[in-house]
Amino acid sequence: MTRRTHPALSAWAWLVYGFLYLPILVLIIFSFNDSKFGATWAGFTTKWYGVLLAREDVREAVTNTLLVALSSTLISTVLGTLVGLGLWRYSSRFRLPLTFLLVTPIVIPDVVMGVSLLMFYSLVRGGLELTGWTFENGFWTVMFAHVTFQISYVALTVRSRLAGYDRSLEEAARDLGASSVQSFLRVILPLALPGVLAGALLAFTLSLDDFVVTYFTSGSGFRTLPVLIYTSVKKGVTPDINALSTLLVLFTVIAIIAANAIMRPRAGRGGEA
Amino acid sequence: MKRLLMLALLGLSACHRIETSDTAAEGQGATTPAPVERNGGRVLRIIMWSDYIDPEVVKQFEKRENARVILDTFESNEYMLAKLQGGGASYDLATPSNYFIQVMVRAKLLQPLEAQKLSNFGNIGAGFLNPNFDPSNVYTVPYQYAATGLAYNSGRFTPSSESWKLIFGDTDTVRFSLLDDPREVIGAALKYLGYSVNSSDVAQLREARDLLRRTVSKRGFESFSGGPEVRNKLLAGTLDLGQIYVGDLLQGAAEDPNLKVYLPSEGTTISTDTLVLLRGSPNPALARKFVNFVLEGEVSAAISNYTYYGNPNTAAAPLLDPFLRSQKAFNPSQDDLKSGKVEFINELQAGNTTRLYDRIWTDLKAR
Amino acid sequence: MLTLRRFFATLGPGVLWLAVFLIVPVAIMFGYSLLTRTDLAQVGGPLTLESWGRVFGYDALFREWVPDNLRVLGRSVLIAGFSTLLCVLMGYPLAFYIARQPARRKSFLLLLLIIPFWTNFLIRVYAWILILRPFDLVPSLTATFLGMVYAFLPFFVLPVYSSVEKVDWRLLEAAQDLGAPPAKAFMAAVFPQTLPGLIAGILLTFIPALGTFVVSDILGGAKTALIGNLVQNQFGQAGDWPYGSALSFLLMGAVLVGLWLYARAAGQKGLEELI
Repeated sequence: MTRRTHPALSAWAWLVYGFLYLPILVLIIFSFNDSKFGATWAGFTTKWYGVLLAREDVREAVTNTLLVALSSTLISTVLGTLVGLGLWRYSSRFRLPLTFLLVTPIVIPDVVMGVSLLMFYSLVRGGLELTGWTFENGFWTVMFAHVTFQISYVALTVRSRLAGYDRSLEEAARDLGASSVQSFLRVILPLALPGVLAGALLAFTLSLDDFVVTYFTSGSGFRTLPVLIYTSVKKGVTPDINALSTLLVLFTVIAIIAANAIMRPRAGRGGEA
Repeated sequence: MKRLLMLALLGLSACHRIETSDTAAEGQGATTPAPVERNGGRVLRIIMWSDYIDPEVVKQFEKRENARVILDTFESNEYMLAKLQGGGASYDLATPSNYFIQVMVRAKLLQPLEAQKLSNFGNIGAGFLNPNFDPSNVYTVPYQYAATGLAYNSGRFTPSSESWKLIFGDTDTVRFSLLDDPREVIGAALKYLGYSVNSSDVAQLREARDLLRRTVSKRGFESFSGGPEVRNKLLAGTLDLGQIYVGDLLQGAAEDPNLKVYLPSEGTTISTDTLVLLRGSPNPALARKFVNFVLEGEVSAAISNYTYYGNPNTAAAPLLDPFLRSQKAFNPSQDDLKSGKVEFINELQAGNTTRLYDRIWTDLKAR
Repeated sequence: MLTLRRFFATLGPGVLWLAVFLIVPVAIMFGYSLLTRTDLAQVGGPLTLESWGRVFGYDALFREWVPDNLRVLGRSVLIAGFSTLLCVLMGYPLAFYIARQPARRKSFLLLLLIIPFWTNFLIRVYAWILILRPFDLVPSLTATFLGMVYAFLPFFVLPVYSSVEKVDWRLLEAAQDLGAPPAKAFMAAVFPQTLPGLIAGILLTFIPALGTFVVSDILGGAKTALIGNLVQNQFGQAGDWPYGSALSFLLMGAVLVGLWLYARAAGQKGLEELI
C-alpha cells in the first residue's frame, strides 16, 4: 500500500530529521576539538578517543545502562501491552481510575519518583531484615524503577494502536474455534504489533536516558551512563564525553546497516507478519 | 514490521557483547571495578563530588594498601544525604560541605573520625582547625575549599573596580550572570549591603530581596548559571562578568590566560568540603588510612593541582602549582578569613530563616 | 468467571506492578506532605496542613499570602502548551510521511527518529548551546522552545505514527470522489482516524513538558522557575520534603484535573479516545 508522498511533505520530513541530527553533527565535530572545555574551536585532535578508551568507568557504565534498558524494556513491554490490550477490550467503570493510574507515572516529577522509590525500597529492606534477609540497591532496584515509568508509555501506545478496531474481532476468532491464547497470538498481537514496537522503542529510549530515578535507586558502585555524565557535566561537557556519544551513534548506525544487510535475502519471502 | 524489533535488538545485543568483551580484556588496574565485594576484602567506598580527586592519587593509594577504591559521585549535598539515608548503599567516606556537617551528625549518619590520632593531622592549617561546624574536629578534616568570585575575560572587558557594584550598583551597563544557587546569590547581596552571609534578620533579608529584585530586572542580567557555562560564555564574549567558584574559573584560566577572577572588595562567600567517616562504614580502618594519606603534603598538593580548588594543608603549600600560588583569589588571606570578610556559608539555624531564604529565591524566579 | 480470569490476565500484572511500585511510594509521599520539616531534609511530627497551605499561597508561619506558586504553575502550563503545539506542527506531518513509506524504509525512518535520543539528553542540550550561541540566542525563550520540541518530538511522533499506520485511505478516496476539496476531504476522512494517536501523542508530550525544567534552565538561562524547579529545589537545597511533596501533588493534580475535565466534557467517547 505504498503511496506517493507529496514533495512538500518529504521536504518537511527531511527538515525535521535535519533538526534532530544537527546537534549530533555538532557533538561529533566537537569530539575532535583540541580544547579541554570545548566551548571554542582550538584545532583538530583525536586524542579524546584515546582518553575515552582508557576510562574503565565509562565502559562499565555503558554495560550497566544497556543491561538495565534491555531488561526493563522487555518486562515493561509485556506488562504494558497486556494493559493496553485490557483497556481496549474492557470498557468498564474501572476505566477512569485506570486512566489516572497510567497517567501518574508520566506526570509525577522524576525527583518525586526517585525519592519515593528510595523510601519504598528502604521500607521493604527494613521488613526483610526482620526475616534475616537483606539486599543492596543496584541493578534490580534500578531496573524495577525503570519498568514502573515505562509501562504507561507502552500501554498508551498499544491502546491508541488498537483503538478503532472492533472488539468483536477477538470473539470472531474464538467462534472459529481459536483458544483465547491462540486468538491473542494470531489475531490481536499482529494488529497491535506496530504499537507494541513503538512503545518498546519509547520505553527503551526513556530507560537509556534516565538520570534522576536511577541516581536515587542505584546504591553504591552501580552507575549508568547518564549518572556518570550528569555528575561529570558539572565541570562542563568534556570532549571525551562527546567522543563517547559519537561512538555510540556510529555504533548504532553500523549495527543497523549490518543487520539490514544480513536480513535482506530473507525479506523477499517473509513478508509482513 | 517484525524486522524493526529484530533490527533494534540485533543492533543492541551486538553493541552490548562488544562492550563487555572490551571490559574483560582490559580489566586491569581499574579505579571502579565492576563486581562489588561484600564486607571482606580490602575495598574502600567513597562518595564525593564529581571530578574532585586526581585519579593518579587513587591509584597510588590502591597500590600502597593493596586495596580497591570504589568512587561514586554526587552533585549536591542533599542528593547525597537522601541516598545515604535511604540505606541500600554502604560507603566508608563522604565529602559533604561544611554547612552540611551538623545535619549529618543530627541524622546520626557519622561516626567520630578521631582525626587527631592521624599522623598527618598536624599538616592542617590553623585557620581550618576547630571550625564552628565541628568544634575540636570530632567528625571532619578539611578536604578542599572554594571562595566565590567574579570572573571576566580581560581580552574583552576591564572591570572599573573590583567590587560587587558592577552587578548590584545603579548603573546597568554590564552583562552579568549569577550562580543558580540561593545561598550564593542572597549571600552576595547581603555582603554588598554590609551584612553577614548567614543573616537571619528579617529587615536585612528584606533589603537584600529588594536589591535582588532590582538586579534581576536589569537589562544586563543574562542568566543564573554555573561555572562551566560562565567560563564558556566569557570566552565566547556573550558575557562580561560572572559570579563563579574560583576553582571553576582557574581551570579555564590555565587554558586561556585572559580569564581572570577577583574576590570583590566588599567581601564574599566561601565553603569547605570535608572528609567524614560514615556510620556503618564497612572498613573504618582503611578509611582512616585514606584520610591520613590525603593529608600528606604531596598527595594534598597533587589533588589541588588537579582540581584547582583551595588547599587547607600547610605541608602542601610549597608544592602547589606556581600558577595557583600566583592567583590572589585562590588563597584568600588569613586576615580576610578571620575578619569574616570572606565568610563561610553556614547552616541556617532556625526553620523560619530557611523559609525566608526560600521565599526570596522563589520570589526572584517567579517574576 | 472466564471473563474475570482473562480480565486479570491482561490488566492484572501491570496494575499490580503499578500498585506496588507506584501507588505505595506515592502514598508514602502523601504522608510526607502532611508532616513537618524538622531539619534539613528531615521530617517529623506533628501532622499539619501547613505545606498544603503554602502550595496554594498561604504562608502560615508569617501569616501572609504569597501566590508565587500559582503564577509559576500558570507559566509552566503556557510553556508546555506552546511546546506541545510546536511538536504537533512539526511531528504530525512527519508521522504521515513515515507511515506512507514502504515497510523496510518505514522501520529505518522510525529508528532514525529515535537514534539521536540514544545519546545523552544533557549532551544534546549542550550541543544546542554551541549551535545557537553564534546567533546570540542563548539564553532566550526561543532557545527554550527549540530545546523543548527537540526533547519531546519522538514521544509525540511515535503514537501518532501508530495511528496513521492503520488509516483506512479508502475513506479519503471516497470523500474525494464525492468532490470534496483535498483539505476538506482530509479533515473529514483521515483526521478523525488519527485522533487517538494524536491525543496520546499530545499527552505524552504535554505532561512531561509540564514537569521538566532542565531545558529552560540550560537554554533559557534559569531566569524564571517552572513548577519542576520548585519541586526540585525543595528536595534539594531547601531540604523541605513535606513542602516538596505537597508541591508535586499540585503538579500531578493540575494534570489529573485537566484530564478529568476533558473526560467530563467529551463524555464516554472522549474518555475512550483519551486512553
